[in-house]
Amino acid sequence: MPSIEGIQYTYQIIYHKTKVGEKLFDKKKSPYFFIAPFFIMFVVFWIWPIAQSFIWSFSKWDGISEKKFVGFGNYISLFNDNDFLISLKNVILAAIVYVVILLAIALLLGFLLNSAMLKGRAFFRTSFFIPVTVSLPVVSLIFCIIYAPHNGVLNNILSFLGMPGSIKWLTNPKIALWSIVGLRLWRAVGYYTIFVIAGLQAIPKSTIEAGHIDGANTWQVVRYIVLPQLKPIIVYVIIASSIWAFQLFEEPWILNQGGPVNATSTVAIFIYRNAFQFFKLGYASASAYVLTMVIMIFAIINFRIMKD
Amino acid sequence: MNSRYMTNKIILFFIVGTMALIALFPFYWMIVSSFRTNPEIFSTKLNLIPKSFIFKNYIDLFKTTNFSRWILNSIIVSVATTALGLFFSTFAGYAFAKYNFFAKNILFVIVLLMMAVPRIVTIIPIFKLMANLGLINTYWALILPFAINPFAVFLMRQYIKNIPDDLLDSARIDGCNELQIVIRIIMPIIKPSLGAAGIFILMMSWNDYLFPLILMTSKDMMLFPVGLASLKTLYVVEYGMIMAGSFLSTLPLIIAFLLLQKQFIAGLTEGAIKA
Amino acid sequence: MKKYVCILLMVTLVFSILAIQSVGAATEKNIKLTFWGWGPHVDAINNTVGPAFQKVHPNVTVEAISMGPWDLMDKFYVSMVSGEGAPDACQLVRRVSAKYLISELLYDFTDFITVEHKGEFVDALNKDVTSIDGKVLGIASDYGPAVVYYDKKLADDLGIDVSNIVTWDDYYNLAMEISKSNPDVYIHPFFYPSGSWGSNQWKLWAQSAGLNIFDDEGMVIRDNEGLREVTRFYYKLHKGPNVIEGVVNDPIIYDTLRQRKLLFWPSNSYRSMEIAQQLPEMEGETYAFPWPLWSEDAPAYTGNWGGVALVVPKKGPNAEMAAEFVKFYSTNIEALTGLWFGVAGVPAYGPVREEIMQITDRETFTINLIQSVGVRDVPTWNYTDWAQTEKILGDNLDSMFTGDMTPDETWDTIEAQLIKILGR
Repeated sequence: MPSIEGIQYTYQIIYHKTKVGEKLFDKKKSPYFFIAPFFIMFVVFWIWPIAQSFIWSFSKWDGISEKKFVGFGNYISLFNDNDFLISLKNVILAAIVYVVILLAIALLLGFLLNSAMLKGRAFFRTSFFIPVTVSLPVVSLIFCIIYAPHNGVLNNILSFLGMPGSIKWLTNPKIALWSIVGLRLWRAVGYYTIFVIAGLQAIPKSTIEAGHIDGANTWQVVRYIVLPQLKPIIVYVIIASSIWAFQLFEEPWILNQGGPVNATSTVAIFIYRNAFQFFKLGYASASAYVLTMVIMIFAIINFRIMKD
Repeated sequence: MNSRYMTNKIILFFIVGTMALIALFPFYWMIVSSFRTNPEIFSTKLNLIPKSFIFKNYIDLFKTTNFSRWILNSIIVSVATTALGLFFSTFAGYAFAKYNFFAKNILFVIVLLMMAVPRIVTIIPIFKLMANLGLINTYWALILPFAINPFAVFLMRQYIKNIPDDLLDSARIDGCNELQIVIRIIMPIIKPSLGAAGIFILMMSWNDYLFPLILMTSKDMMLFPVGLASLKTLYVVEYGMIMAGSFLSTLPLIIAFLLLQKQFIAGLTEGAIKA
Repeated sequence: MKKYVCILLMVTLVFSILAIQSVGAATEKNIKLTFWGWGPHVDAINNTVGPAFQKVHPNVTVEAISMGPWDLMDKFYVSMVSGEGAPDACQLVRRVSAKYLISELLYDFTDFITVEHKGEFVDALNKDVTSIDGKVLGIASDYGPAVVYYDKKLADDLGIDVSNIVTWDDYYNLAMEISKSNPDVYIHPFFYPSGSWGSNQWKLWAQSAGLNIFDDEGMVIRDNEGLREVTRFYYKLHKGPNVIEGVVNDPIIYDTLRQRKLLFWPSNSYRSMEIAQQLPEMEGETYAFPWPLWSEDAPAYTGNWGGVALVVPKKGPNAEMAAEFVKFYSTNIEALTGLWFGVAGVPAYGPVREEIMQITDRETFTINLIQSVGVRDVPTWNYTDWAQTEKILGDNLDSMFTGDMTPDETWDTIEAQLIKILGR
C-alpha cells in the first residue's frame, strides 16, 4: 500500500506539471467549485425533503389514505386553533428571554474564562462544556428530580436557605415554561461560551495592545475594539440559539408533555403530536412552516439590527 | 496594588467557581446515580451522598444490552459526519464570506431558511429518500444529512469574514491559486473556528435522537441514544442502566472536547499577519 | 490535519461498505422474523417463545428488538407512510392503535379470533383491534383490568376490613372517615396534572360504570348525564379525602407507600409490577381487592388501562409465517404465564387465564391480584381518535382541578370540544 507521503508527492507533481490548479481555481470559477459539493448534497438531503413536506401542508393527509387538497385551509385552521396559538406564544416569549440572557452570560463567561487572572481556565472551560455532553433524555430525567415539588433538590436548597421550599417548578402553569427555559440555559451557556472564546482568541494580541498603547482603558478596549471584532460571532450566537429555542421540543416533552394544559407546549410539540399521534401530516407541516416564517422574520430583524 | 489584584483574583475565582458548581451538579448527580440501585435513584430524599455503591448497573448494561455496539456505531457516525461536515462547510463558508458570485445572497438566504425549518417535519421525506437510495440501516443514512449542516456553514462564514482581505490579495499576487489559498492560508488561520465548528457538528450528531431512531431499523445498527431509550418501557424504567450508559457516552465527547480545545486555544497569540 | 481527515474518510468508507454488506444476510431456506416490542415481551420472545416456536417450525428464528413504546409507534408510522422498513410483526399500544388498523396494510385475524378461537379471547378487547370495516386486524394479547391496591398492614392498623367495601359510596365514606381521624394518612394518589396519559385514570371509573364517550359509530354521545356524574364523583373522590398529589409515575407516590402512609391505590394490574420495581421490599405486603361497584345491583364491571395489540404488516415477505408466530404467541401458555408473573398483564386468552387461576404454589407480588381481577368483567370502550380525545380529556380535567370549572361545566366543555375538534 503506497505511503501517504508518496501519494502526496505524486499529487504535487501532477498538480504543478499540468497547472491544473491555475486553470481550475482562478478567482472567477473557484467559488462555484467550493460551493458545489455542499450545495448538491444540500439540495438532495435538505431542500428536496423540505419541499415535499411543504407541498403536504396544502393537503389534508393522514399519511396512508388519499391526499385531499385544501389550499390554505390548514393555515387558516391553525389560527383558529387554541393549542397552536398558545404554543406559538410560548415559544416566542421563551426564545426572546432565552436569547437575551444566554448572550449576556456567554459573553461574560467568555471574557472571564479568557482572562489571565483566572487560575485553572482549562478546567473551568471543560466544566462549562460538560452540561451539553449529557444527552437530553438523561438531562430531563435528572431535572425531574431537581425540580420535584416535594424534596426536590432545588426546593431543598431553598428551604435550607430559609425560603419557601415547595415551589411547583414544573406543575405551576405560570412558572413551568421558565423552569424549562432555565434548564435550556443551564445546558447551552457553556456551549456558546466556547464560540465566544474562539472568537476572542482569534483577535490578534497586537490589536489589543495597540489599543492600550493609545491610552484606552480596559472598558474602552472592550467596547471599541473587542466587541466589534466579535460581532460576527455574536450574530451567530443570537441566530443559532434563537433557532434552537424556537424549535424547543425534548425538554418540555419529556418533562411535562407540554402540560399542564399547554403551559409548556411548543410548536415542535404541536407538530410532533399532530403528525405522529393524530396522523394529521398536512396540518402538522403547515404549522412547521408558520414557525419557519416566524424564525426567518426574527433572523432578518437581527441581521438588520446588527447590520451584517 | 498587589492586594487589590489578589482580591480581584479571588473574587473572580469564586464567581466562576460557583457557576461551575451549578454547571457540574447534574453531571455529578448522573454519575452518582449510576452507582445506585433503582429505588434509591428515584426516591425523593435529597441523597447527595450516595448510600449504596454498586457496579450492577454497569455490568447489566454490558451484559444484557448491546451497549458497546451502540457506542461503536455512534462513534463511527459522529466522526465521519464531523470530518465530512468540516470539509463541506469550510469550503462553502469561505465561498460565502470572501467571494461575490452569481446568486450568492439568494443562496445564503436559502441556507438560512433551511436552518429555520424544524427538522422533525423532514423525517418522513428523508426516510423515503434513504429507502429509495437503499441506504436505510447503513451509516451513510445518518452521516449525509448531518454532514450537510447549514449551521456550520453559517459559522464558518462568520469566522472567515474576519480575515483581512489584503492577506488573501497578497497571496494572489504571490501566484497562489484559490485552492492553494484555502489550503495553505485560510485553514491554518481558522483553526479556532474549525475546532468550534467541529465540536458543534460532533455534538449535533452524537446526541441526536430522532434521525437515528427512524433511519436505523436493525438491532446491530442502533446508536446509543436510541438504545438507552429502549430501556424505558411502558412498565419498567431501568434508571440505573440509563445513567450508567449516559455517563459512559459523555466520555468520548469530553475527550474530543479536550483534544479539540488544544487546537484552538494553543493557537493564535501571534496574530494572523504571518505570511 | 489533512492527513487525519483523509484517514478518517477512508476508515468511514471501509466501515460503511462492511455495514451495507452485513445487512442483507438472510439465506433462502431459513426465515428470520423481526419483531418490535418493549420490555418483558421482548425478553419472553427471545428466551422462551422464539425457541418454542422453532420447535414447531425448525427453519424459523424470531428476533425481538426492544424499543420504547412511543418510539416504536413513531417508527411504525413512518414505515407505513413510506411503505418501507416495517418489521415482520410488532406490538402496538392498544388504546391508540385504532388509526393503524387498515385492512390494506395489516394481516387479517378475523377467522382466528371469531372462528378458530370463538369466545376464548375477551370480547371487549377484540373490539379494540377491529377496523372500521369490521375486520380483526390485530390480536389483543393482554390487558390491565383495574383493582384497588391496599397496604394490608396499614389497613389492619386502622381497623379496616376491605371486604366491607362493596360500592364506591362505601369507599368514599370510609375515605372521608379515615381522613378525619388520621390526617397523616393518604387515602389514594391524585394524578395532577393528568395530561393526556393520566386521563386514563378517569376513564377507569367511566368504563366501570358501563358508559362510553362515543357510540359504536364513533359519534359523541350528547348530553351524557352518566359521564357528568362520573366526573362529579371523580372530583369528589380526589378533593374530599386526603390525597397524595403527583403525576402518573411520580416518585412521591411510591415514597408515600414506602413510608406506609398510603392506604389505597385504585389502578390497573400492571401497577403491581411497577410497585415491585420501585419497592421490592414490599413483596407480599400489598394486597388487592376488587374494583367497587357503582351500586349494590350494578353489573360487576371494572375499567381497563393498558395492553398491547399484536399486528403483522401484510406486505412483508414473511407475512404468513409472522402471522403464525403471533397466533402462537397469543395462545402459548408458558409465555403468557411468564408475562403474568413478570409484568402482571392479564392474558386475554381465556384458557390461560383459567390456568393461572389454578396456580396455588406461586404468588404474584401483590396478593389476591388474580382473584380480584377474576370477579370483574371489562365492558367495551370505544377508543375513537383516542390520542386527541385523551388530550382534550386531560386538559379539561386539569382545569377542573385548578378550580376553573365545575365538574358539570367540565364535562360539557369536553363534549363540546370533542364535537367541534373531532367533528363527531
